[in-house]
Amino acid sequence: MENQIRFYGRGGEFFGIWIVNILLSVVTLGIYSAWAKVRTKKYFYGNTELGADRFDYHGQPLQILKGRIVAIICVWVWVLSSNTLPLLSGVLMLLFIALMPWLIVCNTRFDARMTSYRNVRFNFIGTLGGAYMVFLGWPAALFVLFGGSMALAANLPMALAGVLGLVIAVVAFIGYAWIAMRSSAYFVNGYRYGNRPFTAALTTRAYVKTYLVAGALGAALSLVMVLIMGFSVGVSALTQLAHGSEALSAGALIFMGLFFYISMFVVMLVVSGFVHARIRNYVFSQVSIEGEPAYGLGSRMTAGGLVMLHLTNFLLALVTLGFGRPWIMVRSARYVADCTVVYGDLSQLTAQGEHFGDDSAIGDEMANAFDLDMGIG
Amino acid sequence: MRSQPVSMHGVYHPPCSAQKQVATLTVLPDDRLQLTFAPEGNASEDRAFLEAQSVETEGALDNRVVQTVPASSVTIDPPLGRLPMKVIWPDGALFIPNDASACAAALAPALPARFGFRLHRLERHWPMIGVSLMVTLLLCIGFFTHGIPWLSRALVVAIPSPVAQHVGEHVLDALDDHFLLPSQLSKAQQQAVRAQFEALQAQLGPFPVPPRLLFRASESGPNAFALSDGTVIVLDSLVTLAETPAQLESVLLHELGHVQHEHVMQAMVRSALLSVSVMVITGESSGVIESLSGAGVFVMSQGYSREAEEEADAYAATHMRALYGTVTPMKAMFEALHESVVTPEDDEEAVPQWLMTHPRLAERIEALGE
Repeated sequence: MENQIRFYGRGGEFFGIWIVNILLSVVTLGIYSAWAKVRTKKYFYGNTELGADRFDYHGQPLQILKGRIVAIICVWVWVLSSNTLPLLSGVLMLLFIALMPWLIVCNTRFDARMTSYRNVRFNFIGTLGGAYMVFLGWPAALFVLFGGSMALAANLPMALAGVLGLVIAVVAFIGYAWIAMRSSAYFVNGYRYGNRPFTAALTTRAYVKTYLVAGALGAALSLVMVLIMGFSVGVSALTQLAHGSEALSAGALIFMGLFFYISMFVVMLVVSGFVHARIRNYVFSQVSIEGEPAYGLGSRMTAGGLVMLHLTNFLLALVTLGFGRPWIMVRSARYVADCTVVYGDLSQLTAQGEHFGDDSAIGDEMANAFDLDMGIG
Repeated sequence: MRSQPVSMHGVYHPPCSAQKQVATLTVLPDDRLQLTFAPEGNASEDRAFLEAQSVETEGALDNRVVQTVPASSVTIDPPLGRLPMKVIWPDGALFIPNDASACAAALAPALPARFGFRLHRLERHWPMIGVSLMVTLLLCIGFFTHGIPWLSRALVVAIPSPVAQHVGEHVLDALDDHFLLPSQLSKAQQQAVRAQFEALQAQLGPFPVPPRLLFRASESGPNAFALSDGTVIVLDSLVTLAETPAQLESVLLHELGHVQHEHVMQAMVRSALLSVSVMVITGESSGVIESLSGAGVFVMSQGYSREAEEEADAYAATHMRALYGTVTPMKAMFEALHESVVTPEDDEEAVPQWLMTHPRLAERIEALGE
C-alpha cells in the first residue's frame, strides 16, 4: 500500500509569517530569531501529511536561543581570527575538524528527537564512535593512502608511475564512493521511529555507478560550455580585429569571466542535482522501518526535476532580490513531499515513543552556523 | 462561564503512542475538560489501568474511559497558518479535533489569551505584512549604507592597537615577499622625503597609531600605500614622478588621511561584519545565494573603499590648503598619476564605477573644488 506524503503549505500564507519573523528578529536584535525558527519549523512540519496525520516539531525557543548565542560567539571568534591571527584560526580549524563528528551526531539526534508523527517522536542512536570512523577515520585513511601512493609514484620511472597513478585513481574513486555509502548507511541505520529502528543495506556498487554517470554528464556539459564560450569570444575577437584594435577590451574580458563563472555554476548544479536525486532514490528504496508490520520508503526524485527546482528557485531569488524566499521554501518542500512515499498499511501503525527532556540545542546550532545555515527566516 | 457543555469529536493518541482512537472532547461549564475515548482491549474494566493513569480517569459504558482535567492544565500550540489545532493533554496524550475553528471557539473562554494569538493575527493582516516588508527593506538598506560603516568605526576603536600593529606587520611581510622590491632611491633623496614626512607629521597633530615612512620599489606603476599600523609605503616611481615637493606631499597627506581615519582596520572589520550579516540574512539557502552574496559583498566593499578614498582626498585637500593655500599641486599629481598608468587606447569608461576601488579621476579632481 502506497501512502503519498503531501505538503499543504502555501507561499503567500508563509510569507506573512516569514516577514513578521524578520521584522521581530531585527527589532529584537536577533533574539526573536529562535522563536522564528520554531514557528517556521512548526509550519513546515505541521503542513506535511502522511496518511491522514501530520508531523510536528517540538524544539523549544529558549534552548535554541542559547545554542544560537554560543554559535554566534564562535563564528565571530573564527571570522576575526582568520582575518587577524592566522595561527589562531589554524588551531581553531583543527579543533573544529576534531569536533565535527560530535557536532554532526548532536545535530542529527536533536533534529530527530524534535520531530514527531502521531504523538511518537523520532530518535537517532548512531554511535559517536561510528561517526568518528565514517566522517574522520576513513576519509583520513583514504587521504593518507592516496597521498602516500602519489609520493611513491613520483619516485618511479615514467611508465610505472603512469600505471600506478591510474590504479591509485581507481582505488581512490572507489574508496570515495565506499565512504559516501558508509555515511548514508550510518545516518539511515541510526534513525528510529519510537521503538522501531530504520534499517537499510547499501552497496558501494550503486554509488560507483551513480558517480561514473555523473562524471560523464559533467564532462559532456563542460565541453559544451567551453565550445559555446570559445565560439562567442572568437566571434567578438574577430570583429574587434576587424576594427583595428589588437587586444581584447576590458568588456570582453569581463564577459568571459562572467560566462566562465556562470557555466561552472550551471554544470555543478546539474551534476550535484543528478547525484542527489539518484542517491536519495536508491537509499530510500533500501530502507525498512522494522516492526510488525514493517514499512518501506520510496523516493521518486528525478535529476531533471531537482535541477529545474534549483534553477527556478535561483531565478526567483534573483528577480525578487531575496524576498521570494518564502515561496522558494514552500515549493521546495512541496517538491520533496511529492517525491516521497511510505509503503505499508498505516492503519496498523503502532509504535512506543519516549519523552525527551530539554536537550541542549548547542550542538544543533553550532552545526547549523558552520554550515552557513543560520537564517533568521 | 458557559451554561451548556460543548462536545466535539476528534482523534486521540495515547501518550508516546502512535495508536489512533476516536474520541470526544467536552468543555464543561466549570472550565474543566473531559476526554472520552475507548482504549485498547477491555481496559475500561481494568482497575489497575485506570489507577495507573496520571490523569483522573473513570470507566464508562461501551469500553470507554473518561478523563477530566482543569482547562488550565492542557497545552494548546499557538495558532499558525491553517495548521490543525492540537490539544495536548497533561499526560502527554494528544487530541486533534475534527473541526478546529469550532474547538478554538469553544475553548477560547476557558483559556487566557496569549501572545501567540495576536501574533497569528499579525501574520495574516495584510496591511501589517506590507508595513513589515517596507520596514525590513528600509532597515536592510540603512544597515548596509550606514549601520555597518558606523559599527566598523565603533569597533575599530575597541580593538587594541597591538592587533593593528600585528596585522600591519603581517601585510608588510606579505607585500615584501611577493610584490615589493628594495628602494633604489639615493640616501639623499630618501632623507629629503623623510624630512618632508616628519615635518607634516609635526604639523598634523596626534594620530591613532604613530606613522612611519618606508621606501620600496615595484614594477607596477607609481603608488603609495597605508597599512593598519601607520606605515606609509612610498614607491620609487612615485617619488620620481612628483615634479615639486608640494605634489609629493599631497600624496603623503592622502596616505596620512587613511592612517588618521583608520581606514585599513575599518575595512577589515567591515568585511567581517558584512560576511556575517549576509550569512545571517541569506542563511538556509541552496548554496547559490551564497555565491551571489559573495559577488554582492564584493560590490559593496568596492563602494566602501571609494568612500574611504574620498575621505582621504578631503583630508589631504584640507591640509594642502592650510599649508600651501592651494590644491593645485594635488590636482597636478592626480593628472600625472593618471597619465602614467593609462595608455591612449584605454577607456576608463569601460569599467563600471561600481567595480572600482577608487572614484573616477575626473570626479576626484572635481571634488577638490577651488
